[in-house]
Amino acid sequence: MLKKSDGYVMIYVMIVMLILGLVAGNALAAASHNATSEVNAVRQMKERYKIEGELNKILSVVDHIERDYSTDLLAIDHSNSFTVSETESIGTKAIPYLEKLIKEELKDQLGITIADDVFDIPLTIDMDRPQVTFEIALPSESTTIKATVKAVGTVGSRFPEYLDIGDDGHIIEEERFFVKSVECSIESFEITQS
Amino acid sequence: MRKIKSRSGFSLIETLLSALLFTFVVMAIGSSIIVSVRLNAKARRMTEARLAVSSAVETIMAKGYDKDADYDAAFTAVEVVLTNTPATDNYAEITVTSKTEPNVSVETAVGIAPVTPEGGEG
Repeated sequence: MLKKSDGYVMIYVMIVMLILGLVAGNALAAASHNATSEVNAVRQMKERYKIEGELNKILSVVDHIERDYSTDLLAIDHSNSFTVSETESIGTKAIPYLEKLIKEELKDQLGITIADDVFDIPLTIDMDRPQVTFEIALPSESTTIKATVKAVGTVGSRFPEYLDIGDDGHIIEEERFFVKSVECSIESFEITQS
Repeated sequence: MRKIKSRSGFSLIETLLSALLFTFVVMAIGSSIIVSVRLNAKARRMTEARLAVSSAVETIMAKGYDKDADYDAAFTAVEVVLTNTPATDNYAEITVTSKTEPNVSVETAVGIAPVTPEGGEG
């Protein structure tokens, strides 16, 4: 192989090497990008399932709320029970107690504090069953879950709960109602990942 | 006296320099290609592990955690470890780890599978 002109032979070698180097460099950059993306995808998956797990805990705790004062004659929690007049609906009257129960249970079991203003009352509810929705936002480093949870309570009653003698000597009896159990489900669910 | 006529062609120095350069560049390119192949293989294994872990978690989340289920047999590519006491917590905290890529591991909580009455629909 002969060169055509003096002093320029190296240029051909360098051009070939440069092209090969660029190809290899691009391949390395692509592989590196691929690996980095995969590492990020794994990190996002971990975060996502971590906070989805937190949401599952909340749902499980709310779903397993159970208070049955009617079976134990000595036990009645007055702060969680109420009376209903003839003109009131049990479902509507029980709503604040349902909210209170959900807040107490989440605080006790998971240490989660839920503000009052996240609770919303659906426009139409069963006359005998209290119902609320509440929003939960669970953020982490790059993932946020927002969920609206629907909780429907079942009301139990105990009669007579309170016995007393009135001024005129007649016996006062009260039927007390309480939220016995709660069923919950997710109404809406949104995940954002950055 | 007759002068020696200059000849076209590679000088020894040019040839040596070219060979040296060629060797360096080929070594660099070779290393890059080896690293690229390894990175791609690692990424592929991680993708497979991620999909296996994700699939296992989604399945358990959909059905709920069943203490009697044989998750080792159901999910051969992952290991499912329970880390709490579902009987008292009402939920199961689980760690799902890929058997091939231990770094691909997920910690989450799932609900408990509803108990199917005996003789009921399985």
